[in-house]
Amino acid sequence: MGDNSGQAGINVQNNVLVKKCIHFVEYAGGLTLLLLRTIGWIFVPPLKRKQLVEQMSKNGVDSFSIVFLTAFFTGIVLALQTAYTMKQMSAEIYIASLVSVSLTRELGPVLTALVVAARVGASITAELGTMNVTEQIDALETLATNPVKYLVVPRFLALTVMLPLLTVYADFIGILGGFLVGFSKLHIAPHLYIKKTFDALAMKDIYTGMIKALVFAAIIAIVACYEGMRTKGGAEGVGRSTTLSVVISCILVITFDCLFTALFYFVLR
Amino acid sequence: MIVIDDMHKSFEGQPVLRGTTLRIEKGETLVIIGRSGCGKSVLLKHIIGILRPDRGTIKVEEQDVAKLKGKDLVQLRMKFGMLFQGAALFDSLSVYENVGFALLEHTRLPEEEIRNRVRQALESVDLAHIEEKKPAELSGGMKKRVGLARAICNNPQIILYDEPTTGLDPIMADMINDLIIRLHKQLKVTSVVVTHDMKSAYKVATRIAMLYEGVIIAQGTPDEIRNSPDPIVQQFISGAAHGPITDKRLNGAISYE
Repeated sequence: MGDNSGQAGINVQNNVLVKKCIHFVEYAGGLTLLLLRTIGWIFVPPLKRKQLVEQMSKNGVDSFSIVFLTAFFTGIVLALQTAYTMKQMSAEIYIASLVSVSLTRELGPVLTALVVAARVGASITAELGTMNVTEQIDALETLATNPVKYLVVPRFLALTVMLPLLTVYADFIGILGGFLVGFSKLHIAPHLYIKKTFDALAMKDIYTGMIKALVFAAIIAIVACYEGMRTKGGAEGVGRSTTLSVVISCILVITFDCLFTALFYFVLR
Repeated sequence: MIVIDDMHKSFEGQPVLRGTTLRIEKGETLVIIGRSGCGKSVLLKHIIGILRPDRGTIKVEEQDVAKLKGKDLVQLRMKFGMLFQGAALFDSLSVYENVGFALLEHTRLPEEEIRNRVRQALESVDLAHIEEKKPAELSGGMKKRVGLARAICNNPQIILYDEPTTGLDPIMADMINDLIIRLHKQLKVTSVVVTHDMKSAYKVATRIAMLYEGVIIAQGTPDEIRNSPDPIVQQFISGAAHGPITDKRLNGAISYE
């Protein structure tokens, strides 16, 4: 009797595990399919320039202020925290190199992506989710318009253009934050701080950060649109999809960051 | 002509359509009646190719809708106009952009021509000078009429109406009924109306079909439906709380499967 109930318990657990695996594969497949369809539709004219510019403005330009705050304070905190250790070794001058390299290679792309996932990803999912539950996406189809072409492509392109730009901006602002700490609190000569910053930076640091930003932009756009377009169940469903969109985007951004960092470290030395 | 043959559709294992068979003649106004959630809207979405059946076929002018792709599907959809239950106007676009959407997206007509067509479509539904307003600035009845103007703006051959009078006051509902009749007479279109509003059904229909448990259980002229001997049809059209539909839910006694 005990053995039977134990076996039944294991079977139930296995079934749950199998269902979760199937759900994961379905979800990953759905995202991949939407990515491929989006890329396919990019090359089908006409390109909606008006919508593209509108999305670049709404999702990119309007994010500059929040990216400024995040990057500026990160630069300050990074300089102060490293100063704490560097001072013990009388190596404060290396703060400039550490801040610039950390920001361009890692913190700039990742923090900008996380901020954009929360701000822009959530807004895209909520907008498309509401369109879906109010049958606006069905209406698009009845008007002979492909929803991927009309809704996903402009958002995807806007993010893939704007996120790398926001990342460069975040790198610069973060370095500026570190610089302000360096010369005002740690009394490093400004010209020396700037020289050390430029000495430490290689082109590879910048372009690996850009590659990451491009991939993160694709992840955020596709996850946000996918979640929006599969939203069900009214206002509650929109809320659920929006939360899921941000959570999944953030997890994927961090996962892909880890993969790319390993790739750049071990393969593209 | 639209021919639906033995169509089945399930959602997450839950069957909605279970062998629906229906023929819609060119130029008629067919009203599909049935309880809320019985699959009427699902049937409409199959006709226009938004949903694909699990089994069975839908043919619009000899073309199998489920097999159409790309340009063929676009061409087919340009023959349709559809009014959604909640109007489904695009929030971010003005009334002009909503009504002229298909023309702006799929034709190269000069803007002046599109503006004229939009004005005419709005006039057909008794609206004027609201082109620059956003959907959020319109009342429920106006939204429905703008939705209807959008449905007719590209001169469709078939108009699908999903619950056209739901959520409207009786006067506005009757105005929408009059509009459906007027558009039918003026444009000579085939109309498919999904509703559970019997007053509306009797007024606009040239023929009525009743969908129950995923199959068409009765069809005929409004008078034939009114005098149908089927107790299920009688309970539905009289709106009685007690009868075979509700008893079946309790006992599982009657089935058309």
